[in-house]
Amino acid sequence: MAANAFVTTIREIIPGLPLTLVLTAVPLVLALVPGVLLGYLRSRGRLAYYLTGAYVTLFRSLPVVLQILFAYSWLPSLLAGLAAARGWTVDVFAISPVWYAIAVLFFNTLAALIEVYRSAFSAVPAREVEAARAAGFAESRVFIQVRLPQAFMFALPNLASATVNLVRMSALAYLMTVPEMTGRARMAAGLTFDTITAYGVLLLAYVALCFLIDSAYDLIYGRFMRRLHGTAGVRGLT
Amino acid sequence: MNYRTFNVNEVASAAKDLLPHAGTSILILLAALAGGILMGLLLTFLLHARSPVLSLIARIYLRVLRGAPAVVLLLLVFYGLPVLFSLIGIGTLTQTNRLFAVILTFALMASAQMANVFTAAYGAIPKNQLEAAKAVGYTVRNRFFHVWLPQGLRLALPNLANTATWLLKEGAVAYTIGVLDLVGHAQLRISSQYGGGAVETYTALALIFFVLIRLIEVLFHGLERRASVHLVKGAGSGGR
Amino acid sequence: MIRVTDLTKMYGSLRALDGVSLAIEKGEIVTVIGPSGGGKTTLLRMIDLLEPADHGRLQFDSLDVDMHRPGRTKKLAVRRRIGFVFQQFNLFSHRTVRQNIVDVLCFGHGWPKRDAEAAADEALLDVDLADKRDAYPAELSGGQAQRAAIARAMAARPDLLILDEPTSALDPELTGEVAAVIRRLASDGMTMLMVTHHVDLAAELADRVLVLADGRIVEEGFVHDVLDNPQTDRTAAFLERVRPPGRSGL
Repeated sequence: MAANAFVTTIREIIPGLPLTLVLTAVPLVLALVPGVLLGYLRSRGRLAYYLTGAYVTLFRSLPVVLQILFAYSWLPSLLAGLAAARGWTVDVFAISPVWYAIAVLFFNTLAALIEVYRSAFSAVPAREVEAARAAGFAESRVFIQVRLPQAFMFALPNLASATVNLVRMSALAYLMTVPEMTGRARMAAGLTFDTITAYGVLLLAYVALCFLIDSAYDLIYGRFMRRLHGTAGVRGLT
Repeated sequence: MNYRTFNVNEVASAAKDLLPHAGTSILILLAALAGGILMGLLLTFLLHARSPVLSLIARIYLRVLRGAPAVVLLLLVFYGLPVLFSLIGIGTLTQTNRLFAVILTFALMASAQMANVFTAAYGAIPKNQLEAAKAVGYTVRNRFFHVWLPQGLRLALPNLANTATWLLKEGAVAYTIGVLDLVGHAQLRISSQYGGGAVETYTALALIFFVLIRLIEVLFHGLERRASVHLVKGAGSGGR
Repeated sequence: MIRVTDLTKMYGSLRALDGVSLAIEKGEIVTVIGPSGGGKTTLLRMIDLLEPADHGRLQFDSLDVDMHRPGRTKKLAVRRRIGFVFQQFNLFSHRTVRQNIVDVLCFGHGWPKRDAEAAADEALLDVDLADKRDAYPAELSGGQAQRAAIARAMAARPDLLILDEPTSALDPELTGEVAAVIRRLASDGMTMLMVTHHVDLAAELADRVLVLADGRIVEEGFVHDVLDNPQTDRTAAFLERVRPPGRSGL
C-alpha cells in the first residue's frame, strides 16, 4: 500500500514540474536585465540608491504569502474596475492565476537581484576601472568590458541562492490554485490519504531540483575559479 | 461587479483586531530562533567534526534544508509528527501540537541558516586568539565559552538579524495548517465578514509586518552596537 | 612635448597640489621623488586626467587642455597618448594577459582585433612574457604582473609612459626584472615620467629629478645635482631616510 501511494504520488507530482519550472524561469529571466541595471545604479548614484532601496525594503518586509493573498484578493477586482472604467471587453476573472503568481514572484526576484548585483558591482575593483579609463576606454566601454563581466562573475553564488529561493517561493503558488508541484502533491495526498508519502516525495523533488540548479551554477562558477584564485580545479559553491 | 472601494477606517479597525495576536507570531519567531541557534551550533560542530560520517550527515542535512520550501516542510512535519508521536506512544493532534509543528519546522529552517552563519563567523575569528588561549592553558570548554562563543556571537549578530526577519516572513505560512497567528486571524476576520474587507485587512497585516521587521532590525542594530562597544573596552582590559 | 602649468588640487582643506608646473621634452626621463603624502600619485593621475584638477593647464604637443574641465574628447585623446603603469598593476582580473593588451588596443584605441592581437604578442615578447600570455593575472607573480602591465601600457606605442612606483608593491627579489624592463625602455629612448622610492633606479635612469613635498616642487634639477648636493633641508632629510647608509647615491 505504501509503495502504491509512492507511485501514485510521483505520477501526480511530475505533471506539476513544468509549471514549477515556468514559475522559476519566467520571473528570473524577466528580472535579470532590470536587476542588473538597477543593481548597478544602486551601487552608484545617490537618488537611485534610495529609490531602489525603498523598493527592496518594501518587498523584503512583506511575507510572500501575504503578497499572494493580497494579489489574489485585490488584483482581479482592481483589473475588473479598470476594465469597466475603460470599457475593455476582457473577462478579467478568466485570467489564469499563473500570471498573478508570476507577477508576485517577479517583483520579489527583482528585489533579490537588485541586491545581488549591487554587491557584485561594488566588488569590482576600482583600480581596474581606473586602469581602463587610463587606457582610453569610454565610460560605456568601461561598463561593458570591465564592470559587467566581473559583476556577472561575482554575482554567481548569490544568484544561485536567489534562484533556489525562487523555486521555494514558487511552492506558495498553490495558494492561488496553481497546479504546480505542491498543488498536485496536495491532490495526491487527497487521493492516497498517505500525506507523509505525498509531502515526503514532494520535499525530495524540491531538494533534487535545487541540487541540480546549484550544480549547474557550480559548473559555470568553476570556469571562473582560475580568474579569482589563480588555481584550476578549486571547489565551487558551498 | 466585484469592484470595491478602499476603506481607510477599515484598515485601522483591522489593525486593532489583529495587533493582539502579534504575540503568537512573535512567540513562534523567538522559539524557532532559539531552537535554530542551538541546533545550528550543534550542526556547526558536526560539520567540522573529525569524523567524515558526521560531517557528511551535516552536509546532507544542509542540502535538504537549502531546497526545502517552508510550506512543504511544514506540511511534512505537521503530518509526520503524529506518526512519530504515536510510534513512541504519546498524544493526539491538538492546537498546541500545531504550534509545536510550526516552531519545530522553523527551528529546522533556522538551524541551517545559523550553521552557515556560525561557520562564517568561526572563519572570521582570528586564529591566533585560539592559539593564544591554548598556549596559556585554557581547557577546551573555556576556549569555547570564553573565546569562541562570545566572538562568534558578536560576528554572527548582523546575520542573526537577517535570520530573525526572514523567520518572521517565512513564518507567515503557519496559517496553512490552521495556526492562529497574525495571518491566521486575518483569514478568520475576512471569512467572518464573508470575504468583506479583505484588501483592508491584508493592508493592516502588511503594515504590522513592516513595523515588526523594522523593530527587529532596530533592536539588533542596538545589540550590535553594544557588542562592539564591549569589544573595544574588553580589548584594553585584557583577559579576565 | 608636454607642459603642465599651475596645477592645483584641494581635497577638502588639504592642498594636495599647489601650483605645480613642469615640462618634459621628448626622449627625456623625469623622476619624481619625495615623502609619502607629498602629492606624487595625485600629480600623475592629474596629468592623465583621471581626476579633475581645481586649476591647471596641460599642453601636449598641439593639444591644449583645461585640466579643470578637460571635456570628454580631449580627455580620451590625452589618455590614449599616455601609457600608465600603476603601483598595483591593475590588470583586468577577468582577462588573460594577452586579452588585457588586446582589450586596451581594441576598446581604448579602436584597433581592429587582428592588429591588436599581433601587437599584443609583440609587446609580450618585449617584456619576456610570451609563455604567460594565456595566464590570468591571479596566476602571475608580482614581477610578471608588473611586466604584463608595462606591456599593456606600451602596446599602443604611447608618446609618454607614466609609472607610479612600479616596483613598490613587489618583493625585493622581484624588483630587478621590472627594473630591467624599464631600463630597456629607457635605452630605446622612451619618454617617461616616473614616481619611485627606488632612488638608485632614479639616479641611474633619470635625466632630471623633481622633489615634491606638501604639493609643491621644492627642488628640481639634474640627477647628480639633486641627489648628491640637495639644496633644501627637506630633500636632504628625505634622501637620508630612503638611501642606505654609507652610500653617496650612485
